[in-house]
Amino acid sequence: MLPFVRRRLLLSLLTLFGVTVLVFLATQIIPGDPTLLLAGPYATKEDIEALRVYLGLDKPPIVQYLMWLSRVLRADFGTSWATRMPVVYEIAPRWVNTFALAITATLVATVIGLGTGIFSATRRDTIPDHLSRIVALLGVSMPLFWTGLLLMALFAVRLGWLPTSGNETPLHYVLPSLTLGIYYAALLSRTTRASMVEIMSMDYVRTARAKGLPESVVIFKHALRNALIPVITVIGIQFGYLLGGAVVVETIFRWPGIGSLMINSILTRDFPMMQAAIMVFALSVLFVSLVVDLLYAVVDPKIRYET
Amino acid sequence: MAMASANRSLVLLRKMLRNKSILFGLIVVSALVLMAVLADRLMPHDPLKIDLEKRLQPPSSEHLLGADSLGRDILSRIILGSRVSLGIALGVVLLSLTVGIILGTFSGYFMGSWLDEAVMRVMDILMVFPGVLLAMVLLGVTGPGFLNLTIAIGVASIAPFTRVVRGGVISVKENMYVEAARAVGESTQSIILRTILPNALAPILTYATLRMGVAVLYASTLSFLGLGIQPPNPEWGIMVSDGREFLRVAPHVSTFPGLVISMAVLGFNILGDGLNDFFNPRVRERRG
Repeated sequence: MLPFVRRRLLLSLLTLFGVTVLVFLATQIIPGDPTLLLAGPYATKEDIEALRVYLGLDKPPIVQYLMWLSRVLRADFGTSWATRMPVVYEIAPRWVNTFALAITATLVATVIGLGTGIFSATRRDTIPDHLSRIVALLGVSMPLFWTGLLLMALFAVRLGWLPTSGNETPLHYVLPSLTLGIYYAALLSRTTRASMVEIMSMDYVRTARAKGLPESVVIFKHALRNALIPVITVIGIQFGYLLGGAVVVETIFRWPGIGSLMINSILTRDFPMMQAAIMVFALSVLFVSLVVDLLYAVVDPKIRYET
Repeated sequence: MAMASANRSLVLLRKMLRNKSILFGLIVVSALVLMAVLADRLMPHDPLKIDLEKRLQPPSSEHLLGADSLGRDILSRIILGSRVSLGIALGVVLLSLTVGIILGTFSGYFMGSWLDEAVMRVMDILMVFPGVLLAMVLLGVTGPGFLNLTIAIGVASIAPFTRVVRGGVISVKENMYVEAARAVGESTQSIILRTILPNALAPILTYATLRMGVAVLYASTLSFLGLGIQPPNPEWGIMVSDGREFLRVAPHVSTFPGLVISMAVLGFNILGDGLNDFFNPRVRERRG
């Protein structure tokens, strides 16, 4: 198992390095001179030149990258062009908010997704199974921003049961988590069903049935346990997509997270903020996928023995 | 020869249409394509004409789906919007399919080589970002617009396409007939083009269908967020966004365009699902 862990860690580091290069390159090819933007319309030529030297933009790209990287490694993402405050001050609390939303949404997705997936798999090719599959397909086809608005229109605007925006109370979590959760529940439901159907046709499930075990024991003890391995991977992989979806949901519900921050920084062309938001996203995704892969190796003995 | 192959594809098509998912998906997708092609004739009103007197009007016999915040006919805007969405989706899939086939084929054929390693590591880096996020970052750099949006989503779709193509090529490569082609001295180029790619085509085309839906979803999402198509162009995501402030008084403004996006994406998803079932022999065997 150790060689596997070592290789996996190394790959993550390599990928992370690639991400920093990508993020740096992205801001290099931005059309227009950032110093002009930063200096404002009344700056003189000398002002701009001084600013360029101050920002290190007169140095070759490689040197600029290394300077940038060494600052990023110290969690120094520079100063926001919009607020003139250190970017980290803004990023940290917002990351906590996004993470909290991701957790509650994952809970919603897991409960609904596993539930409907098992329901479907155990009633394979019956009408309830077909219905549940169609609903799941519809769930992945509806745009998040639209489901979010519909839920908001119904539960917040019309019925007035829930708040429309913000994150102050637990009630504020309901609609954003539901919006995000339903979408990923649909994905998860499809994976769970496929995985369960596959496992239920295995010999050991037939053996368990032949032994005369009650169906619930066969399903939950023998089939589900084994079907869960790919499902857990999907939950882990989805975490990244969840963060992508969070951008949309945070914007609709005015959730003060990294996602809405990123959109704002793109729309206002606040590049230091944008870089920081992207890096935080990438780090979170890489970290979660690393953890899931390692967990997977612990759960699935095949991986342990083979490598 | 030509007759025989035409006949064979007709038989295949008939077999395909017996699959309910494929049939339903094809109907939805064809309706979309027709809507886009015949948009000029189908639109009952000028989609750009502002009429403030009809502001937020609910559906009526004159405006079947009502009017938006500027009194423009929602139905006409939805019809014209199909051109934008389908155009982007087509461009996205062409771009990512081409690059994905090139990278994925080489990567898969030379599996384990330094070339494969290098390509896959770069794809790993791109895959760190969920597609919509990667497109978002690219748009942040390039700015909004039809072409930029297409390129951004296209680039964001390259990594998953490359992986699918690579997987398909690897599974085909193991077959005896590839070994046979190599044994009779066919060139690598000929083996790839004549033997491997045609046999790996089914999963690739199935995936392309699913990605059309994803592209429609991404394009409308990015436009909704203000990063894609810009107003006053009729685009479904923007139309949903337009109705945000009128959820209480005029929910139809957001509801109808969103419904159309969902139906379009559902069409591609069901078609892709059906094709997947159809081409995936493992599932077929078990059912038969």
